[in-house]
Amino acid sequence: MTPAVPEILSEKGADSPPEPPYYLPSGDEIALFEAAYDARVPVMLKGPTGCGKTRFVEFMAHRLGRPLITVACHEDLFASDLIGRYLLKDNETLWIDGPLTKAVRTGALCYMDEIVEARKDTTVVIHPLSDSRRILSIDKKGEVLRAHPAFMLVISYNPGYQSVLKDLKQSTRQRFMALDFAYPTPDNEAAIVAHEGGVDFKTAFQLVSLAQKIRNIREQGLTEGASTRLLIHAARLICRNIRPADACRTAVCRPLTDDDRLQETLDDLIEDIF
Amino acid sequence: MQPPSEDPLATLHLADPEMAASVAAGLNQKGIPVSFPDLSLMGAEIIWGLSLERSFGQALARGYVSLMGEVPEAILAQYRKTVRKAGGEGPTLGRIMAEHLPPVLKSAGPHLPDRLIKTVRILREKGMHLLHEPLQEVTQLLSAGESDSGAAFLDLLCEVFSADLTFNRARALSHLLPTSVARLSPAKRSWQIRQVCRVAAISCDLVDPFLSGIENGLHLLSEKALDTFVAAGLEKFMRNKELGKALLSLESEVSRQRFNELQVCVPLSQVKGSLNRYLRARTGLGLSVSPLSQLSAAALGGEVPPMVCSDSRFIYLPEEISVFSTRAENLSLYKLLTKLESGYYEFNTYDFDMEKLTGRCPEWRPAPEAAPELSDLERFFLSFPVPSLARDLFTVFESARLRILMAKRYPGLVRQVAPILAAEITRLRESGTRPETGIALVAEMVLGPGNALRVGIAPEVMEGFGSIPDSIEILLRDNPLVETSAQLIIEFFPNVSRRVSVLPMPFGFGVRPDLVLATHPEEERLAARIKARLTEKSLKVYRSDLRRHLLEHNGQMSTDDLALMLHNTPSGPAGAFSVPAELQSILSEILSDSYPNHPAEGPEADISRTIYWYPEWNNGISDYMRDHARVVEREIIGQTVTVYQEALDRNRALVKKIRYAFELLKPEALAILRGWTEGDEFDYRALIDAAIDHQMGRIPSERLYIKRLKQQRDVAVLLLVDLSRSTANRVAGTEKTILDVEREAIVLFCEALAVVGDAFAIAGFSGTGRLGVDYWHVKTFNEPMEDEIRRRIGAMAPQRSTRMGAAIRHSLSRLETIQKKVRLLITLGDGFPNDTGYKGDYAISDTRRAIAEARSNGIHVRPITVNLNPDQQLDRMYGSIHHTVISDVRELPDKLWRIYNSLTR
Repeated sequence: MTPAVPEILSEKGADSPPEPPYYLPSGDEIALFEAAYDARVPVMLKGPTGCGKTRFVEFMAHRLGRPLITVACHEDLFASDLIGRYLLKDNETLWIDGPLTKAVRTGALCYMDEIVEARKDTTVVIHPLSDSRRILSIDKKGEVLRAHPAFMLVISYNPGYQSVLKDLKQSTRQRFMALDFAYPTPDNEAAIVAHEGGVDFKTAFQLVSLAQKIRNIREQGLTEGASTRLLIHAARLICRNIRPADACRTAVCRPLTDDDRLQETLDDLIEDIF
Repeated sequence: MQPPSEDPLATLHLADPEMAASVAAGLNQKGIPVSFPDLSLMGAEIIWGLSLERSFGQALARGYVSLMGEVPEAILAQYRKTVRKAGGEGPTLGRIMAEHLPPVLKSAGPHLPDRLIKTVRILREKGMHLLHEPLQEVTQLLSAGESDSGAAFLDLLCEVFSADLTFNRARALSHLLPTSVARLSPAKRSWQIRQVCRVAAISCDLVDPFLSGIENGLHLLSEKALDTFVAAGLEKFMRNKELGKALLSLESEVSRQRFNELQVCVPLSQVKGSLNRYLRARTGLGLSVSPLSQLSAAALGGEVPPMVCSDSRFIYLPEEISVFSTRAENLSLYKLLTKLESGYYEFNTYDFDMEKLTGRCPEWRPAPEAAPELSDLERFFLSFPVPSLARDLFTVFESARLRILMAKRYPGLVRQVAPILAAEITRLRESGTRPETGIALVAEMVLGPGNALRVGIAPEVMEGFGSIPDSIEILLRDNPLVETSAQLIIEFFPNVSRRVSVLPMPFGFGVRPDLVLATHPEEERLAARIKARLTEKSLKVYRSDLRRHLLEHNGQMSTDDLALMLHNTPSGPAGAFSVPAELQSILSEILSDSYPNHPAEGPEADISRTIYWYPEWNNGISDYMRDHARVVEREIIGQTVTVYQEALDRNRALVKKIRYAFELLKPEALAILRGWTEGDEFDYRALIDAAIDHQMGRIPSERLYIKRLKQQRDVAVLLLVDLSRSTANRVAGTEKTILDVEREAIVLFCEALAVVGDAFAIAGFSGTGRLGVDYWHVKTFNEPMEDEIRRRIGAMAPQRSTRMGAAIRHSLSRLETIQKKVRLLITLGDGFPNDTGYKGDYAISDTRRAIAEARSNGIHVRPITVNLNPDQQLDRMYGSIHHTVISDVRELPDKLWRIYNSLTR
């Protein structure tokens, strides 16, 4: 039986690629993040899904020359999944660090994605780490770990969640500085789609124009507008000789909603634009 | 009428002077000479009628007056003979004949008199009382010139009443038939009645279901399609009576399917939602569609009414479209009209500014005598010798401009519409009613140069225009503005006006600056005032820019906005943007002069009940006004639970679904969770597994504990319903009001909450003025869901205005007394807050403020707005994330509980 391993999206250390991840700044977020890093103020990234929060963290980790440890939070994430646990091996117990402990020890950026999804008792673990104490207490080992000077905590949070039961507690919120992320401006977004999706600028602009129109009808049943990520997916399909209209339908519209009437409107828009 | 030497009506004068006078006046009014013998005959007949029964005589007098001078001698004789005969059988029958025969005799319908006599004979056998309503309808139809429908209806009456009918059944039919026939659309009435007749010939029991089927949708079918449908229905009826009835009444699933296959005509009500959604997505503006019938005939204009026009708030479209032979084509015509018309708003046609134009063409001057209260576009048209041609030319050049712009932004759209537009232009040309030269120019502009030949215009017609189309195309190539189109008119008007006088656009497309101007008169006036004051101070801002800003910001403008506009004007101050203090004070003076004073407060109501005072946020002074709004708590008195029960019955299937969904939400009292790494105690089964693993040298699982979790939903919710007057409006396509639909949603909501067991309250609010906010209790948190509550829900009724902030604050004070972990306020409204002295920005900022107060007290507010298109102002009021807009209120019953479900999952 294998031990339960916490879900880690990416763990980039010394072997991370030399070229920086592509990121197109849309404001002064880089300077703000650098200042926050310098002052060791934890950062909260707010914004809708697929607007570039994760990419921004990857980019900043690379820029600051620190490894990045990402934890995708979910309802069954326990404190021990973050901190670590004992395992038995050959009649001996063996302590295995969790991703958070690893980051605290090695001075990595720890990125907790979608923090509201985590259980509330789990969220409390990060409290002593995110104020001036900068410590992590490992109850099971009786150890109090002082954070590596380079350690930094970043969380992401999507305020568009509908459930009133899932909201970030004030005691958690007020430990972070917050950077707001929105969809990029049309020009920037087109540049991103063209770069990441590998399509020409004209197609990229068409995709962005579609996304803007979809975002206009967000209230009509879409929980969120079309994200930049969806546009990039569509662009990648277009690169592979899928007809643009089909690419948009399958990569942008179908994932967004199951409502037939909305699909019809989206199809109309696609037919107009391509 | 010349009075003859001896008055033929003299005897009548003696018998009944009053009637003689009215007859003479009636004849006089017609102004048609009537022969002496005819007159004396009429006099004698009327006297005979009067001798039998007064009302008979009166009917005879009316009948003769309406026939005299309009029908030949023979017909008059026939009238006399028939009425004589009927009168001989009794004065009542005589009166009926005297009254209903004239329109029949006057209309040229085939064998109508015989049909009427036959009908009367058949109905009489069943009872004289049956005659009144049906014959009234016959007269109505014939007077409206529908002799075909009249004949068909008479046949229908014969068919139906020849059958064996009970007394009650006959009476019911004698009411049902005329009322149903009156509701049919005149254009389709005659063949629809014939189909009813065909159905009635098979069985009279089919008449009711089929008439309700027609009402439910069959009226949309074309003549041929209805014929096919009825044939199928009758065939089914022969085999199985119940199935046949279900098919003809359009109630069964099969019949709906069959109907959809046959339906060619598309009604606006069916596509409204998707068109509105499209408009919202495409333009991001609050544009929506509305039937053309909403416009007055004067507003429609022209001898051929257009298929589309718009006024910057609505795009007006036909009530139904059946131009093409397939449903898909008709549907796409709706979309095409909407897509093209919205171009005027996306590419700023109505932002035309005379000042911008004269800046571009300094040597051109608008006509000085043009009236200043007109829009710039209308004034522009009036500057030409033939203003109507200038307007046509502008429409044509604008469609060329939009085509070029759309080709860049929406290549797919241009591809879709080109063939349909070409076909329509070809049709216009082939109809031969419009000058070919005009059509030629329209084709070149709307479809692009070189396309006139494609729609069948002769090359020599095109030669007259020389290179005009090509040169226009070149001039419009680079990022053309609306003023570019105007410039083109200045340049080409003399040349074009020599060749054409009218330019027929496909589908009647056209710019309507008059309608647009009338939609926003307030903003228009305000822009003009600010512009005038700016000019006095020799500051330059375009009026069109002012107007656009005012429209986008709900009529508000700050000094900073104005300074920014001043800065962005080409001749404005150069360099970085900053406002000198001096300019700032000038601007603020201009603005304060331009805005009219705010209206005074409303009257005070005198009621001695539980009264609460609440502050109100004044955005003008950026502070609260203490004890500004007075809220009075009131009770709704309900009489019956039937309304509630009916709503429940109508939605039986949905209720079942909701109960199931909410059962799932319902927590179990104590949940045992296994396989935890820490917990209350060991899970012995896991412990044994771990021991075995350990013995075998494998790594044992550490998930050895169980947890007992007391799961509790700790939710309290208050549903606050806007009971303003507007909720009494009818929902398009139904007999229900907005509040009726909301009530259904509330009923379902109650059912859902009863299942899940959350504490909930329902209240309504309305009011007049700040001192008269009413807060209507429907259900408080402490009351159990009993019949009393159901009665109150049934009795909720539209009241007066909407003072949102005070109502929210009062609801919060109710919620604050509840000890629950999650407290939720759902507001259900159908528009913006609106009350005396509580409008626009003021109302929006107070509502926002009230919601912010809720948040600071840990109460979640989730507003739902129905029957309104999404609007930026709504975002300003409620924040962009947490409010829900349901444009079609009919979706509310299915959505309200879903929203609650997802909110508290």
